[in-house]
Amino acid sequence: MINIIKSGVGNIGSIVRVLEDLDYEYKIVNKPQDFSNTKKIILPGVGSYDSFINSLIQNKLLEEIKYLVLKEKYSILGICVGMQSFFLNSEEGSSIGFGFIDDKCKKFKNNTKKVPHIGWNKVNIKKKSNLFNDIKNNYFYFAHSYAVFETDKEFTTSTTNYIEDFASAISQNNIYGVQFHPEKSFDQGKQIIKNFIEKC
Amino acid sequence: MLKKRVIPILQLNDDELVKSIKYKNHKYVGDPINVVRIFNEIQVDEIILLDVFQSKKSLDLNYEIIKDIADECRMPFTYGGGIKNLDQVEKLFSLGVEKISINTSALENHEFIKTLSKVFGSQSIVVSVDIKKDFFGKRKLYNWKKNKMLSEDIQDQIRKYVEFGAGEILINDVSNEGSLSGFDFSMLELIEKKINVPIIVNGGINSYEQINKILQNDNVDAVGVGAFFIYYGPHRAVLISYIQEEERKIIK
Repeated sequence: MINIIKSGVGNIGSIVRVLEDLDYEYKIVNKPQDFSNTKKIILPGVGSYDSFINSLIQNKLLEEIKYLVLKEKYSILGICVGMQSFFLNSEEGSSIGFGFIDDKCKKFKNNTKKVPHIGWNKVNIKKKSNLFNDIKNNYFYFAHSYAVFETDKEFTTSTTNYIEDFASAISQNNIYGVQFHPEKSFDQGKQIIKNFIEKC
Repeated sequence: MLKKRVIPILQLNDDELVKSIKYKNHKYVGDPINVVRIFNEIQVDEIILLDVFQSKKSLDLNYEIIKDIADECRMPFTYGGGIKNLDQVEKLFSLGVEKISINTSALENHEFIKTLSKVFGSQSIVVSVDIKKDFFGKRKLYNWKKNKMLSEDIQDQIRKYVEFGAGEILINDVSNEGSLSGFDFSMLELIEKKINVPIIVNGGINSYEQINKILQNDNVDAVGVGAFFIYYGPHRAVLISYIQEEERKIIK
């Protein structure tokens, strides 16, 4: 059973629907005892960075997820703020993230275009990843004001351009993240989730 | 390249979809779930659903139908109508709503926008602004709940909303809404270049040419379309449609 984290303000409804469409069994996790032994975790993110991290801490999930990912080698897919939480911190708040990846999240410099970046934008693949197997349409739905702007590092799987290039998907070992919302991106988004479950 | 968005705007009343003309004469147009299924098939950019009478009711939100609609939506889904407190918003997000739209409560309580953007991030907060022409043809902010024109300056108000944390502004031309009489392009003059969050405009659109023309404006990021995607022909027969990919000329 795929573990879906429900913490605080998370929008898990859309993820649950995609898993049901794909006929996967899932488990909604809001405390450490809930995890199934299927080594897949989906971490959806809605909310501001601080409210997201704080609710993970309050539900004692931050440490548990860290343990499962680093020691038990569970694969994890972070979505939007979920992905941002894999880094050290974010300009959006003062909380400390998982720190799986040694970098940080910054705000778009909005001197030329509007922020938040909302809508359908193109994902350019930089590094071969199973996450993007069989993706035919590479437009995905984004809604965010903060991003990781390191695009030439090892962890950057894809980039997207808005004001400047940012990392729209990342991967490092068993850790995967997407800045866009696959659960809201029609068939191409569904394929990303399927790839994560079957190939990552 | 970020695509400019074309967003069907649906109006809900109880568990039925309705469509108004200038926010009056709400007529039944169909079952919301069926309509959302059609929009799924067509793969529309987003959907905005407004529960139109909710702000005038003292009841809590219609969560059951909102959940059913969210369950059906395969595209981003914005809900608006009667939102007054944080608990409601938290519940809406947990049901699968991506963004919420507030209107009356933003007019009445600016602090609410601040709180919402602090907790949920401004990317999920749309503030909707109703604009109506007064007796002399001058555009005014309009409070639909109280059916009252307001004296506040429209541009000042929009600037304040953005400052307080609105992530998007939806501007509705109430004098033209649902009329299918054509978008009034002078509405675009209200949008200041310095407003640095996405702007959605809505009201009276009656052709694909108009959609393309509106989106060519640098200050506009998305267009909301109601009646034009719901009705077909002079007798307003209900027929759900959308702009075809080949008719979309605009990529930002």
